[in-house]
Amino acid sequence: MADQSDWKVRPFQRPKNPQDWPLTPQCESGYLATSNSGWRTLWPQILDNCNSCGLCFVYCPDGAIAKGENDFPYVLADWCKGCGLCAKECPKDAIRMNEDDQK
Amino acid sequence: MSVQFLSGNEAVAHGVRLSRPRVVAAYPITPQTVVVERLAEMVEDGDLAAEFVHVESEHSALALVMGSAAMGVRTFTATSSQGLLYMAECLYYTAGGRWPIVMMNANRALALPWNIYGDQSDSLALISSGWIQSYAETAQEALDLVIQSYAIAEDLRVRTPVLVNLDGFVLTHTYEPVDVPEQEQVDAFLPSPDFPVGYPGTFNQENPQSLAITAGPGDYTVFKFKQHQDMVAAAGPIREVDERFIQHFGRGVAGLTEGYQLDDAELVIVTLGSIAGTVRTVVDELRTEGVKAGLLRLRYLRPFPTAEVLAGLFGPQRSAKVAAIGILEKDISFGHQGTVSLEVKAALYEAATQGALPPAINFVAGLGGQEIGLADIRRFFTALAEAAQGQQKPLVQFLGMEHAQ
Amino acid sequence: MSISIKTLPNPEHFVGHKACGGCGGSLIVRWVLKVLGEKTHVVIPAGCMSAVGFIYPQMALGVNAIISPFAATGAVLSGIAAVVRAKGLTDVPVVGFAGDGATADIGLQSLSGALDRREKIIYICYDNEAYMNTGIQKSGATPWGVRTTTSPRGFRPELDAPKKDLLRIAAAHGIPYAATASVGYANDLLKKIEKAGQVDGPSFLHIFAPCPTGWGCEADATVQLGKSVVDTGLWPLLEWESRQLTINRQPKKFAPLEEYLAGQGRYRNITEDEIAALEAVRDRNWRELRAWNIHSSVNPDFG
Repeated sequence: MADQSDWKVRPFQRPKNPQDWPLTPQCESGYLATSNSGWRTLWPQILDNCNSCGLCFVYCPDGAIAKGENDFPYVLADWCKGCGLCAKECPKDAIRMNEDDQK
Repeated sequence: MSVQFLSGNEAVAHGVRLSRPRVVAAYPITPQTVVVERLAEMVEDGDLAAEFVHVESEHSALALVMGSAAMGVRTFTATSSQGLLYMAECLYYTAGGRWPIVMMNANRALALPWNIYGDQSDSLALISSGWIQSYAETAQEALDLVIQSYAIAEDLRVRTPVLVNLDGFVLTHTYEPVDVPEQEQVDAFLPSPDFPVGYPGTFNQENPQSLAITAGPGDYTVFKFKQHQDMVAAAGPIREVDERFIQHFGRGVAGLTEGYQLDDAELVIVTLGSIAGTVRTVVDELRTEGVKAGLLRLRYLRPFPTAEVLAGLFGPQRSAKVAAIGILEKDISFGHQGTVSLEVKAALYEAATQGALPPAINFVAGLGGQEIGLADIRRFFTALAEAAQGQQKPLVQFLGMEHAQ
Repeated sequence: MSISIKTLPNPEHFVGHKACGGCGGSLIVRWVLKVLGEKTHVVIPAGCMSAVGFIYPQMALGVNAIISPFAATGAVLSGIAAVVRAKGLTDVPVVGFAGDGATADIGLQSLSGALDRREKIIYICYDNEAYMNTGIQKSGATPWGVRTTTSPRGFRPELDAPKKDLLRIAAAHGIPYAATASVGYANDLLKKIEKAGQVDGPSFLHIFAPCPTGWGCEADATVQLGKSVVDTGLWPLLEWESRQLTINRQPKKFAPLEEYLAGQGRYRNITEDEIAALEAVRDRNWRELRAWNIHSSVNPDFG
């Protein structure tokens, strides 16, 4: 897997016929059928005073913060659980946890 | 091919050597130890190009070869008794993951009381674990079963681990002349010990895989249904492998059961493992005395050969009706009957619509290494003859405990 | 280029998992895979990380991975490593992520076997100090005074009984590399992962991994707790390498224990007297560590 943006929810259709199921209890690594967006109540808003230090990217347990242009961070709506670690650890107070408006 | 004078354990070691597993890991336990000692020697002498890995327990032995199998290579382990039960969790695990591991088990009694001698309580306790189970009668068959087991286990239709059982001491430590095939013969019989890329249950360097995954209630049922279906259907590939083996090596038995003087037998003993040899001798003796005795030997308990058992006992080829059946095993499922008896009787139920079934007696014998002599088997046949004449007999009879029954 | 929070690679290998918000264990898995890369083969025993990462068909690891039986992390790692060696594969790190219960309790035998076999494996214990996946039961790594569902008034054996010292246990096997780390000191942790990946033989990392759900703390407190546990001297950052102990961080003065204990529901029954006693135990532990450090520097063979 490459960057965060490569991790996308892919539709999954359970095979109807057992013969079409995996031959063993295994699955392609990185296959994501469901998003975690329903978990969160808060959404991290990245403010303009962000200096792109990258700490939020480092500390996100969900890999839900990606680096955009000039390493300016952005949040991936599918994977952010709204835990607020990024805001807490931001040395510039440049992340504000708001009511979630990204669902 | 060369004839060597080998014990059952040594025959297994040669079968393993010839099958070229890439990883061997096993923990010592009597009476299995000779197998792993020989394999360690073979690896040190350069006769077997395998990783021989020391482990600190049976649980780790099976878990370790599972990791190796997930890397896509042929593996081997061996155990016995307490060791088999200690790794019990890993038996269900590897069967559910469908890894084609082959394991030898030296059938040995379970504590308590402590006892290192042969009986079949260990493997029969794990009959539902999802492993194919075979039982060798001779050292020769043990060697052959090991080679056959890899062909069966790795068949894409099967992908199920195989437990090859040898009666502790009686078979593991008894010497007999054994035909040991040449390496080229076995190489031509078995696929490569390195599984092809994309083989189920293996990692993939190009397309990474998550193995041994979790499945919720609905999904779990489908995986288990498939496991059961494939195990039932494995009877087909087992027969194919047997037939191919006979063609290739010029010896062997085709099928999950073997009959001896069966088609006209009125009194039949159904059994498994090395005691079948003693039963054959008694059948021969009784035949000279005019008693129509016969033997039905179960080579495999999983998949259970229901159709073969019923054909052997009630099939159209029969020239006489079976009057009584004895099920002889070195096991008791406490509070009911021996496990093999329960298995055989469940199969008989399928035949119940064809008329009244003959009486069936479970002979529990050989527990903890108890000797089963020719005279004992004669007495079993006598009990069957009396049952056939309508005498009431205990359905479960412990050898040596007649005075208390 | 040496690894640090500035150079942490962008590619992700652990996304979409169902761990609780702020989970320290999942942060460790994410970091380790970033450092070791996409060819890593992962073994995870029964526990939180396997429960949240492999639910058919949601596969949160992007690399080759397998769930192992609870007690068998070390054995499955060895089985994989044996084939990596036999096939002459290079650049295939084999790493296990086991919780404290899977390491200090049920998997200790298998860990010992794996360290003894000297295979090239990296064993990571993410320590959240109780059985979290089953609902916060006491483990062999639960510290003194902690409330769990099986120590509801707080685990209180004799005061000087420490939680199992996994670093010493690992070091006693004479392996080339063992270290402790904490999610609160990311640079230290990342460098230790990198070092573990370069060792020829088994390496063992014991990493402090807060569990907001199990500890009764805020979901955003994970990193902060990971700092204060080190600053208070409760979780020394250590490296055991070439038979020498290095203390990576020697605070001149320990921060007050209250700084760490406050805000964690699991410590809410603890009294002031008990805190003072815990400080005494901590100080004794540090005296021992410093002695070990000096002794092993002077004479590594008898460290």
